[in-house]
Amino acid sequence: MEPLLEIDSLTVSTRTTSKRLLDGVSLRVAPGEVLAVVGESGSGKSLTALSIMQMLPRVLEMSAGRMTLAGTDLTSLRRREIDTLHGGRIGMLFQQPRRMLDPTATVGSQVAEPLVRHLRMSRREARRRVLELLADVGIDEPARRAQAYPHQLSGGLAQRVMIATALAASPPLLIADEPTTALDVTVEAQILQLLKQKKRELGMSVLFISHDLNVVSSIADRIAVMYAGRVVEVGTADEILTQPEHPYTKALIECSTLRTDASGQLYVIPGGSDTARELDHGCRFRPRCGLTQEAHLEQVCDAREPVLLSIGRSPAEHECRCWGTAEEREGA
Amino acid sequence: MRFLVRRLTVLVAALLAVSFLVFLIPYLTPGDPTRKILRGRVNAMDIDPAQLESLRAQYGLDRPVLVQYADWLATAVRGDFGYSYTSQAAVMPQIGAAAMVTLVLAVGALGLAIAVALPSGILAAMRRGGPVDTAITTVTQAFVAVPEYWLAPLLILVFAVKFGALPSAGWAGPAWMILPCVTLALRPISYFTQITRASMAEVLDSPYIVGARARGLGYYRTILRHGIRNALIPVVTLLSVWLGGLLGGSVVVEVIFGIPGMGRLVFNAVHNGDIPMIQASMVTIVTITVLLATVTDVLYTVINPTVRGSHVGS
Repeated sequence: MEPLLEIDSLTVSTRTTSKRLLDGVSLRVAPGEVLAVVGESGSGKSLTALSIMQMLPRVLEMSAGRMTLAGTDLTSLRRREIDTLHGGRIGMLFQQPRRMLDPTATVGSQVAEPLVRHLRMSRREARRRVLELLADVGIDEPARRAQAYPHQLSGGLAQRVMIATALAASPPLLIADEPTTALDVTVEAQILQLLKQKKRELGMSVLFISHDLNVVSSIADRIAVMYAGRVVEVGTADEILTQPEHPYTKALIECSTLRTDASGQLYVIPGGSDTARELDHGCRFRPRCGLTQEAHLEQVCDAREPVLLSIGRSPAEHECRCWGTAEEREGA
Repeated sequence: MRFLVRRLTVLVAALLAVSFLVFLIPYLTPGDPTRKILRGRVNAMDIDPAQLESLRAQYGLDRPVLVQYADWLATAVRGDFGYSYTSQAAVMPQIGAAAMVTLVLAVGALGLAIAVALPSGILAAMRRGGPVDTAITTVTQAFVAVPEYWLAPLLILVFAVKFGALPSAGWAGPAWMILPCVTLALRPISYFTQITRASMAEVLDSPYIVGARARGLGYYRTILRHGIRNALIPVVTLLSVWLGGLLGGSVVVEVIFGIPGMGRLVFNAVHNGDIPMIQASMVTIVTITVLLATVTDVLYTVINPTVRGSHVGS
């Protein structure tokens, strides 16, 4: 099927030092599909989202790559077209829902904005529709909540309000950037449930960004794992979760099980992703990878950066960026 | 409602405390007030001690200070602050007239300051680091360094003397307001521009600006709908501080431009040792300042809902 969102070799660098924060990221989201992007802090997940939204901070620039949404080239949009993109064709959720709402404006007035902007509703129509939208995301007493100010909402309620706002104009794509990370576990489950329900009702595609594989496993159709500004493994949720190939993916899954070792310690990936920042050659994950020594690949991993190779039964079903797994397959 | 009652109680207590200080201050300054009054009226080197005594008794200045205070307070709460030692007319009507003049002057100056400072501050914040920002910041910062006693005569020389476009001094209509207002506005323009710029810059970096843009509002609409209102919160505080300050009257500007406002009134009263006039003007100024602070607090809750007490649900 023709993908709804297609990102090809997206590269984002700092303007002053040309340091690459995203390096050749390629992702595809099919209509009605949920693609989860996972990785630790600093892997470039949120930056990918901001790039799609054409909302990169001024100090960064997109130095290469193509992005299309339903065939429209996103990188060549004019200012006004970007405004219709926001909330009109792409809805967005954030990690801190309360902080994304203007503290001095009522909740209702902010939910109404995309209705007036994108659907050209009158203020009166919008006011009425807001109440329906709030009720649709499971908010009790929508009339009272619409009059409330953001600081009077709990995190869960605020995220429901954000969902109502993001989906108000029925965009074909929803980008959810860590939408449940700041919430209590019980609230997190409710919000995930709501997102799945909305997805079913509206048939939109979702780019779901998270660091938490447990959360992702309940909602994703496909998963892309990012590390240090690159996609290191991508495949169907099933494949990634049950047959991970990349050492980093395996380590992430190991972490997410919360199993402890013999001494009662939780599993931790040694080192931090900042170790990748200094590397200008070879595999980015090399300093933290167990496979390098194990498979006697020091020279290969050090010399050249691995490429994203197809390892699935059919092409593009499962891709992995690792010399170790490539070796294994060739040997087998 | 409870908020208002609490505010008003604090307000009354503050005014009472201040009234005592205000009453005492003239007595703490050196010099016998009776002697000063008499010297103002009798043009003689020698003062007749009998005359001094009778005057002292006439004004009740021979009684203990606390008795005098109680007596003064009893009439003052009814708005009667006695008679001027110099003009022997009731002080309150004179203060009322002067306060009106000063109010017009202060509102004019601050209105001008806001009209200039808000757009420049917002523009500077939107163009942070660029040439427009640098120009606005440099010019308005330089304004702080311009003293009123230098600017006022300069403006008179240029606009009144050389071009004859505006009156040089006096208070007879809108045209007489322009030069004094410009003089008074210069420093507030500087401070307001800088605080607007700083606050707007902070607002522009806030997550809710990103949130508003993600709803499709676009850059300018986002600033208009969600930026300016938030950026105004610290400006309102500064505005009330300046209004309070300016309502006390500017001695320099009022004396130079010959404006019959509070500044000149107090200046003359102090100069003449006119105790009832000093006390009444001080009480007036303090009352206005405290009332303004209360109004600001209330205004705050209007533009910033997060300081309102009530919470809707959890």
